[in-house]
Amino acid sequence: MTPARAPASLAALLAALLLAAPAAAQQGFTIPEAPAFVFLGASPGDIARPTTARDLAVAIANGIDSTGRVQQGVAVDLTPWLLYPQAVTNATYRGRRGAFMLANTQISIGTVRPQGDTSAMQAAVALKTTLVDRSDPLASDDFVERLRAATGERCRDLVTPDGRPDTEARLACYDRQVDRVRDEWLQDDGHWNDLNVSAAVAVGGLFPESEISRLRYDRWAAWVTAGLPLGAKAGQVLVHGRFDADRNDMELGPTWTVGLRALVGSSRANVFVEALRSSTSDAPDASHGAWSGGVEFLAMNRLWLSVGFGSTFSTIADDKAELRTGLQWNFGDAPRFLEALAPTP
Amino acid sequence: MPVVKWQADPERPICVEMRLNSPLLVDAEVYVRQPGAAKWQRVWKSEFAEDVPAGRITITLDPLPAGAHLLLAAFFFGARKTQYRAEFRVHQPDGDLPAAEIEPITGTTGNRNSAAVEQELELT
Repeated sequence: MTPARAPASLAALLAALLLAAPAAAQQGFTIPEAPAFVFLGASPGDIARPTTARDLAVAIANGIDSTGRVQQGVAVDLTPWLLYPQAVTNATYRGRRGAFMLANTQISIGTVRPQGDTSAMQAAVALKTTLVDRSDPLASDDFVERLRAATGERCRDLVTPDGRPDTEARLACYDRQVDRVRDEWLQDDGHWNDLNVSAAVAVGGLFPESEISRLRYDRWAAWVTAGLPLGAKAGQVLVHGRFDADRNDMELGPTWTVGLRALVGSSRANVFVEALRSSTSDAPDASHGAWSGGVEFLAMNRLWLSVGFGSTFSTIADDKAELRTGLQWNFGDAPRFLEALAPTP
Repeated sequence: MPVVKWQADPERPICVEMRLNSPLLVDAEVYVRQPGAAKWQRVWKSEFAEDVPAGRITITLDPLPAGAHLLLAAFFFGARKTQYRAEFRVHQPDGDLPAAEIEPITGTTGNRNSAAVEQELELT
């Protein structure tokens, strides 16, 4: 294979893996990026991301027509600190828990028309935050000091012939230094598996006839994910929980989902075992879940591959413990289910 | 980034306010190019990767003639997918002329570890 053909072949292989990946493999234990959309079962293509109060007001106003009816397809993903910008600097991010949480808080808002009802509108608002993340380099005094020492003035002296800052050269310089210092800090010093806890809550409402004045409560859900170190650098245990309150329009009780994942290795390659169980009161299939185990490795930048075995179990189907093998994929900066490690805004 | 034209009094000092907010580290700098000059000169820089106190910096520059250019630059760095916000205000505190109108700039480092914000002004 010539070098020129290698990327094309690799892309074809990855596409094949993508198609072969079992759907369950793509359901992470992590909290969704925008919980309101997941809560509504929506995948909006056009998401407004306002960064000023004015933009937020416009986005919300666009979701209501002149007759006071809520519009379908509202999708807003908001980072609140951008509306109150004086609150977040690197010093406050490292030194104040409130600033850290604020910088990692996202609010998502969405609307969708409920199935079987052409006039009503469902809406949800969700808040997601990181409570603790000791694997976040930017929150570490040690990392920041190392980055300062490593970068020095070398990036700042890169200028164009006419004396302006050479933007591309400077960004490339910063990128290299950050990559190097972050890898040392995460891998060599074993911070990749440090304690992290994230949580989210979503609340849903229903607008009969889509009228904004007729809003009534529908249901709510909550997520929590915690990562705990397993030995100094050896591995990590992840615990994930999700609670979905019972719905007003269905004869079903609340749903509890609990997942547990243990991995041994590093943030680049590991052996894992995981289990996920979901229980819904009064449902025909009251309890179902899956377990699996295998190995996972970073194939290339932001692309993870895993191979393993596992099975599903259910209260209405036979609990066959048949083994299955497959390749699973995931895009991300960290292993599957470890997305909390990646610093996110 | 389009150049902002700003009418300034050539007899009065110029006040540059930067509000730079982000969990990222930031290097901030101010450059000046005098009328007719071929090169820019860096007239101010923050301490290396020093935290900007409370996210706010105020710098006073000597008066500049019409035709001079100002370049305000902020380099955010430290992690991927991290947001930043830069807000610049350029004015003459004791003057009668209005401050330069510069919209706040927000963004994210995306798949890089760094991002640059640059705003150029031309004095008229």
